[in-house]
Amino acid sequence: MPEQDTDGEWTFAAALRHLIARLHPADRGPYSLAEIGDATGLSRQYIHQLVHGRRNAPRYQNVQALADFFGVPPNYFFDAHLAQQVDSEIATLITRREAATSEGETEDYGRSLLAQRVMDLSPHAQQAVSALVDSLRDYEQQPRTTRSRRKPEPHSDAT
Amino acid sequence: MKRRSSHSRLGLNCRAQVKELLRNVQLPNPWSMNTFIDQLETYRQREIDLCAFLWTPGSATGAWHPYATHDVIAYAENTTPAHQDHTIFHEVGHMLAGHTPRCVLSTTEAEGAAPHLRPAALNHLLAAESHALDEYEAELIATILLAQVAKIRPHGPLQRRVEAVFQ
Repeated sequence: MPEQDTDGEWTFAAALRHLIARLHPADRGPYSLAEIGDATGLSRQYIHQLVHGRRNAPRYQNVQALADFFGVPPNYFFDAHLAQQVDSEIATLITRREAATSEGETEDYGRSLLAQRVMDLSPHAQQAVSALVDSLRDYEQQPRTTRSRRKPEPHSDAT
Repeated sequence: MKRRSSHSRLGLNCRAQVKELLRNVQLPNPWSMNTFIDQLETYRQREIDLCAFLWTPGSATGAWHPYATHDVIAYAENTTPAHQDHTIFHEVGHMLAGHTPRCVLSTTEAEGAAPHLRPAALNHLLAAESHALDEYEAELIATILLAQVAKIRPHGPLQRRVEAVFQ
C-alpha cells in the first residue's frame, strides 16, 4: 500500500520514497541517491530535496528521468489511482520472485535461467522478460514422449 | 546467498568442477553433443531435454529450465552447430555450478502481471547482482569444456594453438 505523507496527501515525495523502497533487486537494499543520480543524471542533492518534499513541482524532464530509471509511467507520481495499480503490480512480482526462488517450489512458473554471453552483459542488460520463455512454454505444450529431445547431428565436422 | 570468492579462485573452482565431471562422463569420440547429453543424464540420474528455438536479435542465446524431474536446455536453431554446442555447454555450466534459476517472465506473462511496468522495473525486481557472476562462471565452464572437445578433433593448426594455451 503506497505510503501517504503525514497530511494524507499523495505527494511526489511520498511516491518517490515508495519507489526507492520497493524497486530494487532482492539481494541488495534500495538504490542509494548517488546511484539514482548516476543513472538519471540528476544530482544527489536534488534527489534528496525531492525525497524530502522540498521541491514539490519538479521539472517534467526530471520526472521523466526518474520514471525511466524505475520503469514506471511518469504519471505514477501524480495520479494516486495509477500509483495504486503500479504498486499492486510490483507486489505481484515480488511474490512471484519469492515463490520462484524458495525451496520446494512445485509450480513450474517463471523459473527459467537464461544464458547470456558474458561479453553482452552490461550492468542493466539483464533480461527479466524474455521472448525465449514463450518458446520454452510452447515447447512444453507438446507431450514429452513425442517431442524431440536432442539436436540434429551435423553431417560433417568442419573445423 | 553464496559468498563469492575472487575471480581467480572462481577459475580454479570451475576447472575443478570440469575435471570432476570428466572423471565420470567421457567426452564422446568422435564428438557428439547428443551422446554427451545422454551420458550426462546417466551420471546425474536426471533427464535433459534439448529444445530448439528461433533466435531473434535482442533475445537471450539460450536457457536452462529445471523442472521437478527433468531439465530443459534451449539452444538457437538458427546458428552454427559449434555455437549451439557453446550455448548448451554454458547451460550445463549453470547446472554443474548449482546456480539458482531465476524468475524470468515470458513477454505475455509480463504483460498480464504488470502491464504498467516497463522492462527497467522488471529488471530491478527480478535481476540480482549475483547473476553477472553466475554468467561468468557458466561461461568459464563452457570455455573449458570446449577446449577439451577441441582436443578430440583431428590434428590441425587450431588444435595446436588451443593446446599451446593450456600447456
